[in-house]
Amino acid sequence: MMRKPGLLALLVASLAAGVALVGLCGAWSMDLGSLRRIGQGAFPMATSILLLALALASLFTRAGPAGERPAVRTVVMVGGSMVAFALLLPVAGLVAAVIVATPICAAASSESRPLETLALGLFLAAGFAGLFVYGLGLTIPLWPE
Amino acid sequence: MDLVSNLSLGFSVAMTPMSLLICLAGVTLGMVVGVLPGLGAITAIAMLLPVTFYLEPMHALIMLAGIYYGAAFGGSTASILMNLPGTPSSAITALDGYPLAQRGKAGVALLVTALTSFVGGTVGVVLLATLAPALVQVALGFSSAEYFSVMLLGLIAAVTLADGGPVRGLIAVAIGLLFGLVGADPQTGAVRYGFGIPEMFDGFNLVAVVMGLFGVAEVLSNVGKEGGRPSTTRMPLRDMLPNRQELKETVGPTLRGSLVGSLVGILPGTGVLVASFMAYALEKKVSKTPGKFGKGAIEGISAPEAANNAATQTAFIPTLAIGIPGDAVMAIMLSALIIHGITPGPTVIASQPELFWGLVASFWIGNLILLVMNIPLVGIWVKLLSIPYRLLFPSIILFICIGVHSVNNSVFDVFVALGFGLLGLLMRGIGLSAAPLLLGFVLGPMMESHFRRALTLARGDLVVFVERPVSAAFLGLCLLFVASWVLAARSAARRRARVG
Repeated sequence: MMRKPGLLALLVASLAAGVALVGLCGAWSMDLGSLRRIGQGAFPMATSILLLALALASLFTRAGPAGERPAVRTVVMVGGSMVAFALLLPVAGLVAAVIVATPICAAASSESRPLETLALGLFLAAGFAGLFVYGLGLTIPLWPE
Repeated sequence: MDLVSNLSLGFSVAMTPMSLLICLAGVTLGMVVGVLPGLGAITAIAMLLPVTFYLEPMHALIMLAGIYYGAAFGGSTASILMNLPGTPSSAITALDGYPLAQRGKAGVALLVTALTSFVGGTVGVVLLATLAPALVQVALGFSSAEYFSVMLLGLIAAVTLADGGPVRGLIAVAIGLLFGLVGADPQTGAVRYGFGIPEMFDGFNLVAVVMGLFGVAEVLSNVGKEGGRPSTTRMPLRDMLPNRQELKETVGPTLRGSLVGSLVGILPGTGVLVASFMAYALEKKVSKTPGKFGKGAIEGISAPEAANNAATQTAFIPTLAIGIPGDAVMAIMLSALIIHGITPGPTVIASQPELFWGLVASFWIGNLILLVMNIPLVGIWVKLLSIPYRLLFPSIILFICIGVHSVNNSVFDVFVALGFGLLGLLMRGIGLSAAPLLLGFVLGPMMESHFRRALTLARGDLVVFVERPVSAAFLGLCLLFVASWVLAARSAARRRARVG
């Protein structure tokens, strides 16, 4: 259904309009200033209005080629693994974060195999610890505090 | 100082064992990442940026530049062998490179790619060495009005080349501009679009934005797709040598491609993709046998490869001489310079000649390393290509997570990368390109402050943008671009009416 140009144009327009409206709301309370001393609100306001106008204009142009429709499973698993990594890193350390996040991420693909994924997680944890913590001296906690 | 003494200064810096080692490491890392499917130069640089934090600025730059053209070259290798281009610009190489590989000429294609890239890169380096100092003389006279106009020109040029026409390109740029405004306003210090989240007060981190838009989005749209298999796994040197006829066929395209690439690379906002695209189109136009293109024409790989390497080098001219990035990769380079405490601009060449000329010399050395390394190591690249994607993509995602986190030691940046990854995926799905968004994100805040400064200095008189000749010329070019959009739209409408 993503290939129908009508829907595509609508999606482009609503993305643009959505961002523009957030921009307008945020810029509403800012100081516009004058030509001599332009305030912090002038540029955001002008860009938001331009974007809103473009959203309208895009409805009247031909749609470009559409991409493929993303798989929900991929988005959830890959996104979930990044969230897990971000939440675990400060409390559980790099090694645990990598070992937990790798299988979540791998679950995005139906081709992944459990044992192989486990090994990959261990390998990545060791590799990242060696490269970033021991090699480059980044201050990332390796183990739980 | 003349060119010869400048270059000898450069080579004296770039030929130290440490510099050579760093250059070799950069090129190798770049090739490894570039060969991997779905990873282009921009992701390679962003992923490996943290690796350079602990190097001195000169070495960090040499390494990043090495990663840049190493990755570009690695992308070509993947295109030729597996029809798996990591970047749009190597997609053009795949058009004729993959058919060549299927005919058993993969080795010839790879060697020709290496040779033409080297020639193109050399032409680009020579131009960089001769033109950049001259451009600096012009840029030293720039005031805020000129800076604003040239950045506007860059954005408009990027929009012209975006997929799906100028309106969609402008939408991407405007979204990028708005994201760029998030954070403290440099003039007044007031926070804009902070939404009460303290982590947003400094604005979005460029590395996180890039990794999201390009790296995460790429993985999200690739998982689940079957990759190709390498067409060959063994590659003896004998199979790599082109015959006399093939060699003759590459000379003209290589030279034309180098020229086209160099010129396109200098323009702000255009970049490598346009260079290879234009070179390919030109070759097809001048060729006596245009029907051969797309079926394995050797001209079809030599011209775009020469062009993209030449453009890779000349794209550094506006970045280093004026401090304005021409494309997304240059934006990352610029931010790397700033992280290392160097503010690019016309004064850098004068105040740190060893940095600039050392970089120029190392570019050429890097191109030479590429040429030399490619031949014995092809077997390894082929092996790398056979790593299954199910093992690669979790590694890529985790690498991105750690890389993004390490820039500011910030967990929030990982969420930013994820957010922009989802945005990038959505944009791909509905036919918006991410490159203009990134350019808007980078150039937006710079344009705003130059616009405001110019007007403050001119006491609020807008005439300042047209009364200065250089600024007026840039704005005139912008108008030409806009006029070309209108003309193109009209002729397209007329054609559609005729077709019915």
